Amino acid sequence: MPRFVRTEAIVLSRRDLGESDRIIQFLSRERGKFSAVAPAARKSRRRFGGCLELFCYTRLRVVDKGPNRLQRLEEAVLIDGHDKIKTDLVAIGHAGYVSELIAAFLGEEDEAESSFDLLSATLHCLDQGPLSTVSLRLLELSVLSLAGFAPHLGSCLACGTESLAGEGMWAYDHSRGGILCTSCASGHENQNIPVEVQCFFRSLRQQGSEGTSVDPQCMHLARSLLAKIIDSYLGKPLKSREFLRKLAGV
Amino acid sequence: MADAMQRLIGLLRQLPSVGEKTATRLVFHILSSPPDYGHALAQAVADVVERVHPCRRCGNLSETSPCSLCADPRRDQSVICVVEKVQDLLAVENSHEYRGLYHVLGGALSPLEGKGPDQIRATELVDRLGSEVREVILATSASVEGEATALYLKKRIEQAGVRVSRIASGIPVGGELEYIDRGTLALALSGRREMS
Ligand SMILES: [Zn+2]
Ligand SMILES: [Zn+2]
Repeated sequence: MPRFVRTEAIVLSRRDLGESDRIIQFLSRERGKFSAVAPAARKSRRRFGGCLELFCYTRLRVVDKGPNRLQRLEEAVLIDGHDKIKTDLVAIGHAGYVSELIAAFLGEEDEAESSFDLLSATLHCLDQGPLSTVSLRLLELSVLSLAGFAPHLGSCLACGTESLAGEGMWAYDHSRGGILCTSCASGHENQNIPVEVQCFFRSLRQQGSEGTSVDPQCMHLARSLLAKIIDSYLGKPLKSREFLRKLAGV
Repeated sequence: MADAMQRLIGLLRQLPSVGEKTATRLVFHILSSPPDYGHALAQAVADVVERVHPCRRCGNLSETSPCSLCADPRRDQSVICVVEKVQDLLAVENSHEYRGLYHVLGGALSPLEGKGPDQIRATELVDRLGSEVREVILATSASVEGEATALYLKKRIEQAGVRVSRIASGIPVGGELEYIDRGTLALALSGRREMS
């Protein structure tokens, strides 16, 4: 039996369907990640107005036609269009990145309250302008943690030796999701990770992005490590990161 | 059913909005028409594929390069209207509100598709900004992609010292130019604002 459902959701992505329709992917706090057909969304000016643009927070009425059937959008009313994001090219890139990142780690059945709150808070930040590089790393760590893939740091996965007390180089084992000391890592292909990067991550988790500063070299290593962790879980690179990389050259 | 008919149905079905039923009806219609019609149709399809190419200058689809719009001396050579695709150029042209030149980007920047400046005809646009051009009107769509494209181009065009304006008023958020009615598009063009 089809039934009407009301919910509030953020637009994660959209793609054209046929000549005039669109399929919109939403993230709702209660209903998680879901897709719905928006009939005539490309051609009709009035039907959905500007409610189905990327990053829009919208009040929806959808017809749920049961399991394994695409839902149909009946009505959409804009709550927050995050219009300010659209006035800054880098902020647009960051908003695309957080949307794609969160969507990629969420299944359709997953509980999504925390992911929704993270996305919503990030979009509000982006209304003020682009994120700092430190905030971007915190965002990546948060998404990984929410998905249950937080990198294991602080001690060797194999022998338990503590890393943060000492100094020097450690290895990150992507297949096991954590660090190894040099003796446990020998003979394997691993990514090197200095103690400073681990300290940076710990500081991000404990104090957030505001109280954390880091030198460019450490930031570079942190960025490439997180990118590789994310890519190895997802099995493919994120397109929005490619977009940001291209913008950086502008 | 004859193999030749099935092959044509299969090809027609790849067209937008054409399903199995419609494709079959079209094939029967072709067969019941005089043979001249079928030959002319086949020839017209071949001509479109062989003769129509993007204009080297503006990207408009044309049998000549430069296209008739670029080659027309009566058009205002000091203004370039930038659109995402040829359908948008036709929409602006049909509004009868604009008499300048065009530049077709062949797409828009897209954060979620990873589409960057190297994948649109942005450098070709900047290369056209000689002493003659006084204004560039950015008529990209009112979507996030269209806005991103406008922001990027604004930066590059301003570096070349040319005034940039953006059509805005009346275009609904998310709106694609090709679906906007003539009157609205004419208003949007005449009410364009300098980008701040
Ligand atoms: Zn060890
Ligand atoms: Zn031309």
